[in-house]
Amino acid sequence: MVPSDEELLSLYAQPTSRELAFTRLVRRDQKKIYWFIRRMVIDHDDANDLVQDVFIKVWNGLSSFRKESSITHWIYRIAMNVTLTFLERKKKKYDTVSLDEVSADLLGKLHSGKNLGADRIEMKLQEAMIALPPKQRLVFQLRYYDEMPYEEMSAVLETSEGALKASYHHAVKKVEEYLKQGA
Amino acid sequence: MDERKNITDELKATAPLLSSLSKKNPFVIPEGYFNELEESIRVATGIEPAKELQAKSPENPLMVPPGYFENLPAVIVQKAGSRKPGGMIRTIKKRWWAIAASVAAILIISISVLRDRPAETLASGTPIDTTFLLLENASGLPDAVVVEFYDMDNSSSSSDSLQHEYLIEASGIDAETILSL
Repeated sequence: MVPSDEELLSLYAQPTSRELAFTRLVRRDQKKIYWFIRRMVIDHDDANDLVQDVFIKVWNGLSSFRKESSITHWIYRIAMNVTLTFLERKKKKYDTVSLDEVSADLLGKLHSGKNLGADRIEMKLQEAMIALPPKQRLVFQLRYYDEMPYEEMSAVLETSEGALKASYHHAVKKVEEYLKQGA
Repeated sequence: MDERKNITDELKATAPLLSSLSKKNPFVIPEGYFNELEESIRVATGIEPAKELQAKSPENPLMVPPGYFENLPAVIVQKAGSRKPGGMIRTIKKRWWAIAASVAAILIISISVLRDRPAETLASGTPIDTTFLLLENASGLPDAVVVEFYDMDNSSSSSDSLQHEYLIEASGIDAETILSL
C-alpha cells in the first residue's frame, strides 16, 4: 500500500521511526523523481547522481517541511532546482550564453545508444524536447508525461496557471512542428 | 481521470501527431536499478538498513526484510516447481500425531483409574494421591507397589512424606521429578 503524506509525517514525528518514514518516502517517490530528472538530463549516470542529491536534500530538510504543499510536490521542486542548476553548470562549462552547446551535449548522449531503446519517432520526440528551453521543457514534462494539473504545476514551479498554460501551449506547438519535419 | 482526458483533448486539438504517440518510456535503465538507488540513498544519508527492521509501526509491529514480498511469488513458484507431484501438502507432522495419541491414552487411563477407585480415596484428593496416580500412569508402577500403597494408613501413622518416600523408592524416579509431576 502506498503510504500517504499524513502516515509518513506521523512516522517521521517519532524519533524511533524517522528513518523508516524516509525509507518509505524514497520507495514511494523515487521512480517519479528519477524519470523527471532523467528526461531532463538524458544520461542515466547524471540522473542517478542528481536523484541521490535530491533525496539527501529531502532527508536534511524534512524536519522543516512546512506542509504548504504535498511532500511529492516539494520533492519535485527540489528536483527541478537541482536539475536546472546542473544544466546551468553545464552551460558555464561550455562558457557560453547559449544553450545550444548544452543541447548538443544532451543530443550526443541521446544518440550514444546506451541511453535509449526507442524507435525513430520516439527519438524525434526526445530531440524535440531537448531543443526546448529548460524551463519550458519542465512544464512540458510535468503536463505531458506526469499528467499534472495546472494547479499542482503552479505549486511546484511557483508560476501562475496562466503562464504555465501559455508555456505548455508553445512547447506543444514546437514539438509538433519538429515531429512533422521529415515525418 | 478527468485531468488525463483534458490533457488528451488539449493535445488532439493543438498537436494531432504528438497526441498519436504512445507515452511509453523510451529510456533504458540498468536492471534492478531502483533497489540499488534506495540503497545508495540510505548510504548517502547514513541510514542503516537494519533500522527498518528494528522500527515498528503501530499497525504492524512485525517487519520483513526489504524486497521480501516482491521476491516471494518467484520463490514460491520456484519451490513449487522443484517439488514432486503428489504428497506435497502435510499440515501436521507425524510426531505430533504420536504426542497427541500418547496424551489421549494417558487421559483415558487416568479417567478409568479414577472411576474404579473407592469413593473415599477419590474424596480425599490429597497431593500424594495425585502423585501416585500420575506416577502410575506415567511410569507404570508394579502391581505390588500399588497394593502396598493402598494398604498404607493415610489417616494416622503414615504421613504424606512417608508415602512420598515409599513412592520414590518403589518407582525408581527421583524426588524432584515426582514433585514436578
